Amino acid sequence: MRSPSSPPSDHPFLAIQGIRRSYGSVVAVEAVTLDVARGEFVTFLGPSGSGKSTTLYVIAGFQEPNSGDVLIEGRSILNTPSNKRNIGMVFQRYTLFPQMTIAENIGFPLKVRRRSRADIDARVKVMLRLVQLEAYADRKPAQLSGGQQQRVALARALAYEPPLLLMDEPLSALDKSLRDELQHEIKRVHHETGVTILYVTHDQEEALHLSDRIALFRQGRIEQLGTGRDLYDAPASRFVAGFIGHSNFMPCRIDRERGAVDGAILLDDGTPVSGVSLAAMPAQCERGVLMVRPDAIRLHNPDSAPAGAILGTIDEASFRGEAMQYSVATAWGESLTVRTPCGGTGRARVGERVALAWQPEQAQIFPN
Amino acid sequence: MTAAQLQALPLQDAPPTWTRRLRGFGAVLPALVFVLLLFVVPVLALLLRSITEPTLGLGNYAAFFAGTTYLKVLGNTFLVASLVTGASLVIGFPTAWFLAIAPRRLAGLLAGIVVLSMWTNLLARTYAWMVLLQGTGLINRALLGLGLISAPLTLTNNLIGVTLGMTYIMLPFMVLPLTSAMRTIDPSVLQAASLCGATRWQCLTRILLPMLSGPIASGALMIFVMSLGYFVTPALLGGTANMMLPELIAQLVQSLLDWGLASTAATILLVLTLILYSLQVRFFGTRSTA
Repeated sequence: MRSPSSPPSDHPFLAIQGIRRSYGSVVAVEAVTLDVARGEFVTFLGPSGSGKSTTLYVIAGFQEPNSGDVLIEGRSILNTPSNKRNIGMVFQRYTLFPQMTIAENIGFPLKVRRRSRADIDARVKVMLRLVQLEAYADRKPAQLSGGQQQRVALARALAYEPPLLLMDEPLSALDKSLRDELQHEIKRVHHETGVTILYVTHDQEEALHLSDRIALFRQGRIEQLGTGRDLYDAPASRFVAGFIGHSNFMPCRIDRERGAVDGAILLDDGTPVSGVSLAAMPAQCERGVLMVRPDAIRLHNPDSAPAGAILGTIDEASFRGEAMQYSVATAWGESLTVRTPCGGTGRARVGERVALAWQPEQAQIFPN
Repeated sequence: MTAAQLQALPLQDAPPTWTRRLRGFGAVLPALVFVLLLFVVPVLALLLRSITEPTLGLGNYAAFFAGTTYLKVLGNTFLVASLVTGASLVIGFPTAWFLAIAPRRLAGLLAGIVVLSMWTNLLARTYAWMVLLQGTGLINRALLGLGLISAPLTLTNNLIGVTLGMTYIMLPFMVLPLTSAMRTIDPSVLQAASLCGATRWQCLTRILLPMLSGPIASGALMIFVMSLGYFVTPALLGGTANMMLPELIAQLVQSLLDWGLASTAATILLVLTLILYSLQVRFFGTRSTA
């Protein structure tokens, strides 16, 4: 627990403790708690309206939480106004000051801090080099492309060496190729400066590419927190499984009477599924969904299929470069997606009868 | 593409020739004749009078600038116009800001009040101010009743009355364009400035005001120029001690029948207005879109 006498190194760099924020009857953030280590890159991922931006705005000081606290190195920052928080931020929209040149924009935070002319000039040079825009120092923002403007915004947000940088969907206004380029840029800047970054996005690829850890938001709460790998391999809920990567969901029911340990899983066509842990299922829950990733499913000849395989018919086959993607119609009417590496076994044709099987540990069951 | 075709290409993009331009001219000709006959000719005739009546020469201008009387009126005209412009800016800027950031329904209601006051008859509004400001008017009685003053203040027929009355009339011309300009500003620009470490005051002076310099300058110029030529309100709320140029012109024409000197005063007003306008275009004209 916090105590005034303990040294700051005992505290996480940033602690978000039970933040709640509502607008009238609409609750934007229900309860968000999260510790972030110094130098970490944490992404808030989630659909729009899940509370990720509001949480960021609370940290920036543009929103006051109804309850909860935000601490940097053990000290609450909620009573500090935005301009004294010493936090950097890059916004979704372009926020450069139109009447100032690029150099003046980057120098602005130093100017309001009353740094000397020489200090400012030197620092602006360093920042321009960091974002590789040395040649644009004397241009006005309107003369720059969107990608360049966001790089300047990044340089301006880092010019005063804030320990924490907030990024609110900074790439969402840019086109695909620019987004990829700037992702690399952001990653490089993170490595070079060691700044702690909180990054908001609704793009899972962006989150997987950039972050050390991802906090997946849903309805004002963090549904799951972990590395991209954690979220992909061991999703905590059906929502996480559906949001990160592609998933197949198969409705199923649990027969508590049968099975060796605490019940057996039966798909809706009656196929029993074995080996899947029921640990995530509440004891009373009878209905569930079985989740298997498309690349965990193997195609077999129906005649030589392993026990417990599902039968289906290939609906659609498409070539995806490194993999073949099949859509397989099942007996209960839903289609499953299967991805197999191209180098592997022979291809299946549309209309062909196949058997689908997977390793038990690659399937997961969630409450429906 | 052949070399000949390449050479021929620029001609297609060349500006239209004179004959082609004139073809579009026909449609605007009636309007042009109208403006020429009813605006340009009378103005030129007026300007001519200043150097032809009563005798040919610059005698009227010499007379205008010789005595202190007319110069005092000119100075007073500028003083009132400056005060009204300044007051409109000081009151109008925060009002416009409030309208820009207020919830839509409240902003619509308030903007409606501003516009409605603009549509109310000018004389009615000016007389309303006279009623409010006179010795036994609402303001004096309220102040007396509250015990803040022991004798009624003189609020009409002086600089205070003119400035108050005219500022009220000019305010919409500052508030409405500023509001729409402010609405185009992305609030995250100001949030960015704040996180950069700027205080509220620095956000205002270093970010917001420079971003709005174009609309502010054009609003201020419009109010200044309109104030220079305003007649009704200064005539009713102002005193003889601070007469303005339009009142002087009216007097010269109606009482003294001195058309030459009246034209001279009008010409001077027009020239000063044009100078101000060109300054505004020079310093803010091209940047107002930024």
